[in-house]
Amino acid sequence: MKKMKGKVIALFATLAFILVFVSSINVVTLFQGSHEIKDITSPGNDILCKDCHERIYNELLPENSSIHENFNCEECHRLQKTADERTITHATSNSTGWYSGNESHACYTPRCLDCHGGTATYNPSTDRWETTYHNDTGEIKHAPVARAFNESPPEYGTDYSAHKQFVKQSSSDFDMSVGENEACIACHTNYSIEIEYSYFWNIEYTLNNWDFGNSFRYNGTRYNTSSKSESGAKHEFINTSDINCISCHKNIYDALVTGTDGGTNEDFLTHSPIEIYTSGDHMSDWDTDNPWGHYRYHYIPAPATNRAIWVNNSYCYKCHNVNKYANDNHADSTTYNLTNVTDDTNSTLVHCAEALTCQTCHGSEKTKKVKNNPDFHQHSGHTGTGFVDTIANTYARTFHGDICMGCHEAALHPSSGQCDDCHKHGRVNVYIESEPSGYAENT
Amino acid sequence: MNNLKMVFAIMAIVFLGIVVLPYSVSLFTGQHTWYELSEGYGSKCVKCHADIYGELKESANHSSLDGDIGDVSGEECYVCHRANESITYANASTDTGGQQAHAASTIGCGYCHLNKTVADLYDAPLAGGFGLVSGLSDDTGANASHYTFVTQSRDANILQNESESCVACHTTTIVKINFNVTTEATIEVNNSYTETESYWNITSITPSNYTNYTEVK
Repeated sequence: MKKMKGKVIALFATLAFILVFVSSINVVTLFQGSHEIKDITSPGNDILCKDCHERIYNELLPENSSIHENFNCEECHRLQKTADERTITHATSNSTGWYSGNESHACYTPRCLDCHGGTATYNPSTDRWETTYHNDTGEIKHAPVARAFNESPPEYGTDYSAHKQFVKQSSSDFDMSVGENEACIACHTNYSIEIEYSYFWNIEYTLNNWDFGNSFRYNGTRYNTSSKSESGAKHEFINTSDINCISCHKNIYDALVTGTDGGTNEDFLTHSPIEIYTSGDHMSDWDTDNPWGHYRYHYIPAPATNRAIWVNNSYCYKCHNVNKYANDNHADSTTYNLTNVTDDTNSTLVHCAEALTCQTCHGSEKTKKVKNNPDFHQHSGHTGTGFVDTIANTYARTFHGDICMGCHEAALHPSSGQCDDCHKHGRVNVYIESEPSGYAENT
Repeated sequence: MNNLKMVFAIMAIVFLGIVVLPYSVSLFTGQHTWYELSEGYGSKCVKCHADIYGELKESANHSSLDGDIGDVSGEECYVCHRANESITYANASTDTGGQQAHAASTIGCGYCHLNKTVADLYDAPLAGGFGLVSGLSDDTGANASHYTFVTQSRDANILQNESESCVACHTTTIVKINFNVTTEATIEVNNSYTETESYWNITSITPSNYTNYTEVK
């Protein structure tokens, strides 16, 4: 009886539904709301970017992004005039009428250099070189210039900028982003990067009276990967000071900090000339000063644990951006005569790092040209011979550092009895591996 | 008592017979009452599309397409849905039978907003900035972020042409977007060298480590 009653109710409900459905005179539009057009007549952007791009909106929040965190989307994506004076016309509607977009409709994809490129002028109030652009409301705004790379493509400044090739090829050879943005994003945001390097495995040479003869050889290929692993967000911008050289150049860091275990003998680490022993017998109690009369500039003193602390951005800048290092370390500027050293380099012409060799600072005409160590006056070394210049002029720049380090990291050199071979006669057999190993033998 | 009931029942049946029997009942009431089409089509559209009528009343645009500002009568419907000049619609006034469409045709936003000639007729704003407006030489769309969205909408075949993308932004339609974005790039850097020359060369930049997320507008 109960079952029957239920069936009757279900039957009536079905009939009622069919009746309501059939008697309805309306059909339903495919997309609800598709005929309700948004009002876009205000002077600003009435279609909120955040509605579809909330994730990016969140990336730009101050807790996530150190730069641009006070920008709205339109500041970049609807800017009206770039720093190199290109006009971007977007579709817009305001009290004076509607305007059809030309280069862009709602938003355009900017090159970073649209704001950070072009001509720069010095602004005393902010103490920085700035470019000028017109934002989404037409307001004149200023941005810090991306030095060197702001110069008109395809030049991007001088070849001394270590990352010029990266920027240049990002623009010309790859289309993952517009313009050269791949390069900008790689360093200046939390987008993750994995860099797979390939370069030579080792070099070897026999020096005889400061002459290589035909002995120079390079061998093998080293594959090395550095990973800059971050949140992956391209709209999380990081402070320039927080860009970590080591993230992308871990092989150099490893060479400096770990290298190859030298056991009880001297450590042999490429990029880090011989460590200084401040105690011990005559032969190992090396000076903490140097032939130029000041404390050694880019040496890392023992103990070895110092390396992990000392090797940081500042250490990189000591060589790769002397101008910045001098500005950041005024005390050192006096000690090391960094004004002149800066002039010896091209660090004022580069973006963040200079592609250099030992010759850049230690060539024959340079402030820190090679000098004989007065403590070892009987050993003339290659003082004043232009030996460094010869290396620079003869061999590919990629080998210069290791050619020098083949001797200057000391490595497995004899502990006694053969000093003159190397330090006077320039007579040595060198085998040295590239970073991160840095393993070297000089016998 | 039973007899009295029986009398009433018979009277009721007789009464119904008197009323109903001379007529046959039409399946749909009113189906033989014909509209005078020369009075306009609008109200007829609303009869079936009350939901769109409701949206249009709330809409910032298109609610006065018929020239009657301040009142949505339904006449606005055919300004768009009978606008296509390549279509012959049924038209009682000219005694024309429809060919490609009878009462109305579906239409893409671009019919008016990506065609300067048509836009000028209706004083419609052009959707420039995608490089798609015919008759607008300055429309390069060289930097449009949503260019791919617009052009690939043409392949979606839900609405006409690129209208899916227009509706997504310009109307109150709810949009759910499943993004699949890269969070990492793999960069291959090769040091090319001989004994006397060397240079660094980027051999590839490949986006990788994709992640999915959903945005709902």
